[in-house]
Amino acid sequence: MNLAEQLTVTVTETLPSRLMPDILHRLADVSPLMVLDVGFGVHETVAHFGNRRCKLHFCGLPDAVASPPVIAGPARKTGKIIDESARQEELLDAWRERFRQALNFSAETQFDLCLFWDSFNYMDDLALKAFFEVLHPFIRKETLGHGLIQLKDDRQVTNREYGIQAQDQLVMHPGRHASLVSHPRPQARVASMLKGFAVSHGVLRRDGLLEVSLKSV
Amino acid sequence: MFDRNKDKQDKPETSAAPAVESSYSSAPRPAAAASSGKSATLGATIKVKGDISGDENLLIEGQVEGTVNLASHELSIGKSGKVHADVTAKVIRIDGEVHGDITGKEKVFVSSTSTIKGNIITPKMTLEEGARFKGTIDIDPSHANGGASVASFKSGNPTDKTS
Repeated sequence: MNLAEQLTVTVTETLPSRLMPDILHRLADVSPLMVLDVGFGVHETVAHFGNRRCKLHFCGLPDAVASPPVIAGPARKTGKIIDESARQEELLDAWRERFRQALNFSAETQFDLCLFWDSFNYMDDLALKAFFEVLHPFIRKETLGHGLIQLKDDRQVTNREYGIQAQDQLVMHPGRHASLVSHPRPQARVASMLKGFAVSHGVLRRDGLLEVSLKSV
Repeated sequence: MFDRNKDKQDKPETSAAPAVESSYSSAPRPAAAASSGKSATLGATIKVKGDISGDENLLIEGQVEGTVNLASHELSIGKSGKVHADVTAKVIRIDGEVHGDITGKEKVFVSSTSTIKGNIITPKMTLEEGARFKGTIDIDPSHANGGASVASFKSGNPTDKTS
């Protein structure tokens, strides 16, 4: 067991959520409820939504961000600044393509709820920007979201898999992606890259993660 | 093809079985297909290419490519089962591997040992504790008698949306 694995959660835990109850309450009468969970489907989430008409899409994003895209191509002979700009653009395109494969939904799919969990934290700025660009066509003006932003470097809050156990209770399972690199950032910087969403409310949790509810804009 | 009467020698069909109608006599019951009626087992060494349908419960421990349709019965895919097919049954339990769309008319149970690539459509879904699922689950508790279909699922957002 490496250090990262020692520091991260090793047993399933439950944790209260201050923001999820309001999100779910606002979607109580939506039928069928279209849910995007960017992680993996876990027992609790499926059981929670299992009594209502819904479509649950689990896209397993940790698999998609486990390794950054490799940019192939000859080195350019133009100036250094232009080179870096071009490389960033290529990388952005590569991330977009990666996420198009991960978010391979039918064109008419429109989500009511996006459960981002802590996925923001495992994407660098380019990847985060690309992810929300690719997701944008699948959100509508009433779409709500939920996420957990890592504000500072802390391995104890990484490598987790989340689910919904009850309206006000999340469940946290040990993750299986200990090698994922986290990218702690201030809320404002993360929010600036969430195309189509704005932070509606934020609550700083005891473990240092910022729980945020999102609304489409 | 199904290793039901072990003292009899059924010939395994290893390929090109265009449509297999299951009409074998009862055999030891698959653990997960425990309701009344006949049941059959497709053993771990059996490979089937084609369509499987029938009027009894079925446990698949072997490999299947094609389709499986047991609309009124229970289908279990055992830990060694590898199914590359769209499957339809009244109740489906998955312990093994499925690549294809899964339609459970009454219920789908996905265990922690399963590997699934495809969409699940069912009125009632259970994901075992410890299981992780990647894909889409379409749940409609009001269609307990099998109103949903893969065709309607693939058509995208239903039109009966209310909010």
